[in-house]
Amino acid sequence: MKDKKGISRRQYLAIAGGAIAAAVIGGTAYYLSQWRKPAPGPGKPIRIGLPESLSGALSAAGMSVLLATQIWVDDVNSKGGLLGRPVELVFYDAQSNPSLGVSLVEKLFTVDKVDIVLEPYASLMGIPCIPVFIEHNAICPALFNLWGNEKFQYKYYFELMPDGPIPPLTGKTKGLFELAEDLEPKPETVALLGVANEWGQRSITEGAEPICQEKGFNIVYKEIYPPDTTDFLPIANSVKAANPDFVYAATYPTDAVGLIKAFHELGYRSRLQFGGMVGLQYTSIQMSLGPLLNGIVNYHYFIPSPTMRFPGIEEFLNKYQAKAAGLGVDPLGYYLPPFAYARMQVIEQAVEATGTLDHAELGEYIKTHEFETIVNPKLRFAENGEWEKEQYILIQFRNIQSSDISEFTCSFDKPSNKMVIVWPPEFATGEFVE
Amino acid sequence: MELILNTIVAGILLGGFYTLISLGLSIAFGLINISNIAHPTFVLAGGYFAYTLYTALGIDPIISGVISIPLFFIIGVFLYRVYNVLIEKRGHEKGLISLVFLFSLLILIEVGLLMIFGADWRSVYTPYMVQSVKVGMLSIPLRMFIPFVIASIVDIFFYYLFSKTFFGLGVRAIAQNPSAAMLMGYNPLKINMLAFGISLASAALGGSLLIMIQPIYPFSDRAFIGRVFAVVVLGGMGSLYGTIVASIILGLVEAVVAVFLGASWSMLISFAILLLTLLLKPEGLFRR
Repeated sequence: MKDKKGISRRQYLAIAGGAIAAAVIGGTAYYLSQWRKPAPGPGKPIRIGLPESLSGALSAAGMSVLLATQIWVDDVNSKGGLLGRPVELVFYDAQSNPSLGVSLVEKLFTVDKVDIVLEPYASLMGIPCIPVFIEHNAICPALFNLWGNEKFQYKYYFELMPDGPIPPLTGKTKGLFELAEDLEPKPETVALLGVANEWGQRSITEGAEPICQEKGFNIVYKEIYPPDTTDFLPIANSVKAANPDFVYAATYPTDAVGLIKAFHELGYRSRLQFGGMVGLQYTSIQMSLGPLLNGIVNYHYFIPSPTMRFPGIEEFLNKYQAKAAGLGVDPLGYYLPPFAYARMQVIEQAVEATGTLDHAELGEYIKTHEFETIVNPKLRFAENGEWEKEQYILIQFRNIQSSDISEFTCSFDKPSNKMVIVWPPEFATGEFVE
Repeated sequence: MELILNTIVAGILLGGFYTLISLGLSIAFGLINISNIAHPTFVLAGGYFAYTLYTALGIDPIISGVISIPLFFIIGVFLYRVYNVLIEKRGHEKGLISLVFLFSLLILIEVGLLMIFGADWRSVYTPYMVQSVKVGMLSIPLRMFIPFVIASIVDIFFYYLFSKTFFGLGVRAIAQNPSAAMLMGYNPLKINMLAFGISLASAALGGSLLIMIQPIYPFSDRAFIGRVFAVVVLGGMGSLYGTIVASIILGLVEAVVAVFLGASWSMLISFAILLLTLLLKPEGLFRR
């Protein structure tokens, strides 16, 4: 029904809809302008393609990778670019969708014709893309693929996850068991928990179980649970009933929170737990747990500490943290961002040293030379593309009083007494306290 | 015995949470015939609303949930009006166009949340959330008990609203026979607008409690789409009582199966029960 004096309902809805659409488009344009920048300076830019998960389940990690990569682009352009040419980052949202990731990698090679393509973060996204790199005979810069080159054995593959040349499932998993072995008295029984995905499942079946057999730990409970499990009380109850001496858990972020809360609510704690939780490295997850983290031992790859003061890492973290909060990504950036930046440093040094963008030459150079990066000043890759020497740490959370970000902020000048590196001895800042 | 009792309690508490996030969909899908696939997204939006008030003003998520009720009610009323004008009034074949509209809404909300809050996980931390109440052998976590209590309050309120009030009877009447309901003096448009507003308000309340249970990120709604629709369908379309019973059943099944068979079997068994029920009783456990 039309109002004789004013606008009709249809007109009203059209105006409202138009206003909403304008807001959405404007907001999107502004949002993208925070991320997309044209290459500065004269000369044909060197274009680097990144298909990354900017939405979907992996978006939290993907966005931090994008930010770290952009910081590198800014840094290298401020120094005159690569080979005297400015660098431009071309990125797309792979939406945490593996098939879309593969298509975007192909697009970057064949349509955008960029000079170098990067792999998206994580095994789920990265491993399916490897055949495309093989097809184009291109260097394959991977970021946190779990044993990604195992089946392909691609000669130009290199990985920035520092798990070392041995199967990372055994490598990253073994830390907690080695710590357990040294406890007095030595634990006899263990419970194994894993999320039903690549990491959790393989960490349990190909990592933890063989290690338990090797070291003589009796598995009294084992559970591989679905990734969308909401309530962990039943599992925690079962672990409590089994009463193991220690618990190993290979999780993803949301289930890490669920498990830790469930254990706390039952008032149950074993002598040593959990070791393989992906998620306890993210600031937001740490803040969501606060004091519940106390006593937990878990893997990490890097935290600011006098023992891990690698060249350039402090400057990078300062730049990252200055931008991160405003962009809604991990505000501290200790986990992925340094390795995303280091990936670009490897490429930068290879391109400058060879003076070329020829992938065969770059690939050969990367396999045979050492790199100075912010995560390792003498980084070398093994034949299979993994790090020649593993580099990961176990940290124990202690003395955490609240969920404030300051509890999880570490310094290079003084070891943190809240995130204590207890293993390996090379980086340790304290001893494990039971 | 302790394990069994605690498992049953955990299942019931989980069922209470499922009730809270499903009741709104039962109204939308079961009573006013809108297959609101974006319902879990509104639950998520409610979680972000609670997060915003917590970080900006230090407001407890339970209080935020109460504050969100009138706000999301108004949003629901407005959205239904748009839906009515764009889809129902134009006489479009409701099923496909309706799904496209609602799916688009889902994507818009998710991306909007991503752009406003970023991709990182968001959570709230209040000390009481991680406490448990010990009753003999039972350990009852407040994190799950509070949503259960609130769900129970909402259940009682909805029971009263939809069976004892003129409005509630009107919703049921329109669901059965819109023409006859109009003859009885009901305005279907107004009634359905208010009902959809109530649907979204309850979703937002559920969201404020979701963020107490687990951290959220802009796409965590997708884990709940299957569950909420399974609850509504299993309970019987339009039956709020059925939604409650179905939620408890699914919560119990998930918990018991996780302990005695393995967590991997939980969803399989849950959906097997749904399938079996629909084969034997296609209208669900309780008819409208």
